[in-house]
Amino acid sequence: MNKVVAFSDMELIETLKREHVNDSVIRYLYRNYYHGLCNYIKLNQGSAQDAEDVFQEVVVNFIEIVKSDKFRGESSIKTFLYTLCRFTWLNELKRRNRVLLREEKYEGNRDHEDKDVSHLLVEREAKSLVMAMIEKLGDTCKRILVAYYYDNFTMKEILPLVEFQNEQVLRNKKYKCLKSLEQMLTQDPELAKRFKNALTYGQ
Amino acid sequence: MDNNESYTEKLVQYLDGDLTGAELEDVERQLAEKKELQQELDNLSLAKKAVQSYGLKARVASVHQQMMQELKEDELPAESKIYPFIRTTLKYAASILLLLSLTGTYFYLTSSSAKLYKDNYVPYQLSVTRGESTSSALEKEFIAKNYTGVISTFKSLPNPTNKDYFLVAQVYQLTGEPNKAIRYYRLLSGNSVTDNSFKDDAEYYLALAYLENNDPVAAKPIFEKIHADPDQLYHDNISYWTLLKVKLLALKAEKK
Repeated sequence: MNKVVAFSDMELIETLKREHVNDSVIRYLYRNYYHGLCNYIKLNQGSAQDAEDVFQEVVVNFIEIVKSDKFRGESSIKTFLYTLCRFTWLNELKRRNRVLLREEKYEGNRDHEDKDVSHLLVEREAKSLVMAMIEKLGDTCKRILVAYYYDNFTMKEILPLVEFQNEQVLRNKKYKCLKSLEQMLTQDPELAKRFKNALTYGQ
Repeated sequence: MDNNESYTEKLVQYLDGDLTGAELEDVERQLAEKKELQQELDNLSLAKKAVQSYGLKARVASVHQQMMQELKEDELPAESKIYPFIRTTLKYAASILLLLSLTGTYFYLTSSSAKLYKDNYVPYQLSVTRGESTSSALEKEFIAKNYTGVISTFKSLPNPTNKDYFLVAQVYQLTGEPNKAIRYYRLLSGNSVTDNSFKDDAEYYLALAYLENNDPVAAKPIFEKIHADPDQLYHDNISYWTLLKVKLLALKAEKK
């Protein structure tokens, strides 16, 4: 088992803002909040698989919200995650076109904090479409781009991960991969705009 | 590679922070002058952010798999903590059940009707009231334990009473002739009898006579009846354990 690291709310926020996302932070979120949020999904028409999917999405959104300085710290992390979870799940239910009357009532009566969170998640679908675009780039492009832009690996470090003759060939490939993605976004300016809005979390 | 494409490459290098000196200054000047270049850079920057978001999603997905395994493993001991009392109780229940079945098996294998009869048979005591002079000849022979005299006196009686039948049955039981005792006890304990005197006594001793005769199957329903009837004179003589032993003997006899 991995080493268990505990964080206070403040430490967790500071760690996420300061550092490249460490697995121990993600594990901490799972250990402390998964069961509670999972129960909410299961109690509201969701399956165990729904709960897993929604929690993954909540964790990704939470980290991005904190990194983009949108978490104001007015509520605890637990409360904030719970609100994110509710909105993510309601959005999913809407998408599946099987929202109950109860949800309409909920939407009408939601409190101030809920409204604050709702605007952070407005472009959920756009984000999902762009993620699907990246999938279309193929495994090699994904591996190179993620290693370079997410893991912050150097070209020298990436070279052993992919079968290229030298760093220059790898550099050219990386350029082409990024350019392909940029072109896909250019061809759909509306989606690009929505995605940009999604990433900035309403900025 | 045309000029546009080669400049896109420069923009990527700029985005990656790889440019310095004159190259950096040139790109910054071009960006300030050309809106379309700035637009392209914005889109490249958006593509980079998309990759970073994709990377985070993939990372969380990877940790998710590990965590699901860990959290599901944690659920097992948690469940066992919820039910420690039930588990302990079940453990004790299993031990008691094992002990009972071992005891039952031991008794099943070693018990006999003769032994159970010997353990439960108590000779009938005919009550004698001080100064009473109305005892019949048969009763006097019985008190004197002159069993041959009891039988011969009984045979000479033209109209024996229930007491006479019961006492002669007792004598047959004492002298190892349970078949004859059973015949008289049945006569007294039967439903057709109008005089109920000695009925309860006859019922109880009939059950014992069946055991003496090695017939626990016939004894079982009588023991059950006495055990179930609190008004029966011998109700307290039939404990739960006695009844259980009779049932085991009957079961053993039926299997033969």
